[in-house]
Amino acid sequence: MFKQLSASKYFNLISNSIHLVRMVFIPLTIAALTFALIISPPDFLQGDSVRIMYVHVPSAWISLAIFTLISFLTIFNFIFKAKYLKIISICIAPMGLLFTALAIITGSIWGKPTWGAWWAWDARLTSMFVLMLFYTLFIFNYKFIKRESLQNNFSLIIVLLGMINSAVIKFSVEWWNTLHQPASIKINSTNAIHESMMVPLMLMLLVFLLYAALIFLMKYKTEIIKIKKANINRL
Amino acid sequence: MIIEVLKMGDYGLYVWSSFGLVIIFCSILYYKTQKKLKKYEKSLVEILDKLPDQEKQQIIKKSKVVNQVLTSNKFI
Repeated sequence: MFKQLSASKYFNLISNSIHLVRMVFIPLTIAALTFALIISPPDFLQGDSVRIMYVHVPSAWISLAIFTLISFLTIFNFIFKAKYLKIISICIAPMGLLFTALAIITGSIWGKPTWGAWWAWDARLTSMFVLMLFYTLFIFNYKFIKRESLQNNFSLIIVLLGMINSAVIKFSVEWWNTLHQPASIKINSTNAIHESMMVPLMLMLLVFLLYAALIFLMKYKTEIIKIKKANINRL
Repeated sequence: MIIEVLKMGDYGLYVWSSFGLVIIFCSILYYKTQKKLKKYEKSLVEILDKLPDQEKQQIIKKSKVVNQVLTSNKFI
């Protein structure tokens, strides 16, 4: 099944997708930023500082989503030994690290006017910081460990521990009394956010997802070329 | 109107620095990724250029990836 993911088959599709995403990305970003910075109303309590939510929340969602995806890919790679799953996780991990760092930095900037502090070691903030460490370990594992079996074992340990941390991130605001507010957007219940704020939030999420897709496609294309370059004598 | 948007009700520094940092970090990762892709495309083309013509043509025929890289780099 995983052989179907063989990259060279889809190389043209990857190249065309990069062009397509680039074309859509700029106009969508302009629209999303216009909604987030100008059209959307200020919050009645937080005022205009609420606009930081439009970069903070999508960053945090995507960082968690990428770690979940990496976890599944690593587990499947460990079981089925499919090389391309490993390549996909290597390609998306730097984005996960970037979005986690952005969620922490923008959260910290948002915290100063809202809580009066840049940082607090509360459960949500600390577990996000730990997620950033897991991403760093995952990237370093593939960069500095050369033996493949050891790489696979270490990456499995990292994602298994990271999955526990992901659960802590998700439920920390319910399990403990934290400075961070509980989730305002829930899939199974009514949202606590008005649609005038929901539209820019979803637009910014779409922009971030497109950006993540663009970086992934470019990194994946690079990895395929790397492999072809290494095996040029066998072609 | 412009000053109001810039000031963001006294939260301007926080809001603009958040958006600014996101744009800067994302741009850095984008340009680093693009630079690396171009570097590998170029080095693949250079390796192919060193090969004898017959061998080069054989590889181009066999590999869609090599063919596409060569076409997109307009080295043919």
